[in-house]
Amino acid sequence: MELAELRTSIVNKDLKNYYMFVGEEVKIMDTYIQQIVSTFNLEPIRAESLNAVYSKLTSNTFGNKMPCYIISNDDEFIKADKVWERMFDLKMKCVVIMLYYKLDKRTTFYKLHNDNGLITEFNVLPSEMLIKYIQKEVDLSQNYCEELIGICKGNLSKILLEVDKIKCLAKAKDVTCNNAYITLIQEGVIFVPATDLLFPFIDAITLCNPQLSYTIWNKIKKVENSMAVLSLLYGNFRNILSVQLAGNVNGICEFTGLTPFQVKLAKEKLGIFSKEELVSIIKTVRKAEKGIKTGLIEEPIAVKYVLTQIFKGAK
Amino acid sequence: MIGQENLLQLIDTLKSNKFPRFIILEGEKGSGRKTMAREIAKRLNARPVLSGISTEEIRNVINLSYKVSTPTVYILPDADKMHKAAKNALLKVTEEPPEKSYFILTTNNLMYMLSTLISRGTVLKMDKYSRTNKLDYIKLNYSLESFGSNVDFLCDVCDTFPEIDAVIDYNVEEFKAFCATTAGFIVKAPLANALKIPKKLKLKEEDTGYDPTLFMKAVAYNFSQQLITAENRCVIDSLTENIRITLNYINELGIKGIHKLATLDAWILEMRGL
Repeated sequence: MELAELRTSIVNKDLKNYYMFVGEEVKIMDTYIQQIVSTFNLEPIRAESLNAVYSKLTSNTFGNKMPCYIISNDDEFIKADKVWERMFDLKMKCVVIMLYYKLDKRTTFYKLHNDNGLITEFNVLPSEMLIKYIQKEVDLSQNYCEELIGICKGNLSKILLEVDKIKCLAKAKDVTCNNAYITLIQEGVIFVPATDLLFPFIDAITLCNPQLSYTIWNKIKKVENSMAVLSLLYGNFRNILSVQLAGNVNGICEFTGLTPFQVKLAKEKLGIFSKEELVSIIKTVRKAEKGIKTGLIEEPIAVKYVLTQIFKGAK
Repeated sequence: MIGQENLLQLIDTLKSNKFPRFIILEGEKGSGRKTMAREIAKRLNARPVLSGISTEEIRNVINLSYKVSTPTVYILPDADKMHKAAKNALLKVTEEPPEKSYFILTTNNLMYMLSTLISRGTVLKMDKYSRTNKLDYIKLNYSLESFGSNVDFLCDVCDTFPEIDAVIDYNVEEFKAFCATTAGFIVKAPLANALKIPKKLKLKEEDTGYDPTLFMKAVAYNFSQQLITAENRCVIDSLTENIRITLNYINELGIKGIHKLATLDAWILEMRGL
């Protein structure tokens, strides 16, 4: 069931007994649960598993309100294929909302529930909508809103938590929300995930900044895959070499076989390394990649080995 | 089945004694390992069953293998790509072989197999196809005459039948011309241009273009053709060196998971003496 269909069904007071909400957007999911509960005058009951409440699903209720069982990430239910079928035919005297953070779309469990129109996906909202949510709470500029959305990977719950920090700091220090945001980023109160440091790391190396390169690497080495880092590094140095070799020729994209964006990025880093150094670097990176594949270099030290080789002459 | 006479003879010899229950069939991609596995099943009067190689599938196959009542050959392709858990599960079969079942694992490199499996199994190697085998294959599937002198190119460049199919599919004349032009271009063109060559090849599954290994084999063929007619000592030395470097990088392209673009770049750089 699409989100719009779910919305329409609530507006039209068309209550179903069994829902399955899937997605990382917990905040929106919660909003819909509250809508269902209040529109149909239900009694929300959080349960650990379907098994725990299964016997009550067909029982009459003695209270004024019909119970609405809300069950999160019940893995046992995913494996209990006989119970799924029963759930479709069960004449329930309550509402069951199963919540899953993530479901494998290839599984029979997913397909069967989806074919029966039970699954509603709660995916990340579009940026424009998220910006509206942020700006409803704080007076943050468009650029910072976009940056914050990127840091929180579009997750509204996370965004609102960070927005709350901005609001509190701006009020306590009597500064603008933009300034409060900058302070929070600089102080590390708004946590920037390590993965977002991959491109700054590549930039630090290609711009020959050993100190920054080692600092970032120490932060990201536990989360980044060495092969992926080396592959990205190889591509970047290769592009710089191609653009550097091409010089000022007309039609540089055609000459080098690179896209305009790749050329633009490479041009920002021209002249930092000589042609000979660039050739030597791409050979070193390849040696490290090959070394990992052939077992000659241990993966955990491969990137550090490359950094040492690149910066050995740097001041 | 075309070729593999020695291997088939060996199989017949093994059959006359006690045929091994656990075989590892080593040969490069396209060398006919699955066809050979089916041929073995035929010669053993057994039912061939081609299985997947996920851990779950392997465990299922092992369970079944102890229950079957008719001789069955389980063919497990690309065993080098199996998960370690699946490889370990197979150890049981090697230690307590089922009565009616045989296992044939195919791999293109023994290096990626567990040493415990190798030591317990019987390793059989696919033979290289001879020129006669390749000609037989072309005669059987295409019109040999239509290729004219390009038949030599096909037989010398391609090691397996799927490679022959691929080159014919590319258009032999066009592929040959491209490789000949590129062979000169690698050393003589400006480096920035030379580095464009790998981008014209099929480096990833979704790319279009020629297969990098076939391309390099064709370039090596081109150098060897030039070598036949070369008289100048310097030219001979340079061509010999080019062939040596190219063959070395063809081998490197065979390393599982190798960065193909980087390998081809390294080849170009080394060919230019950088």
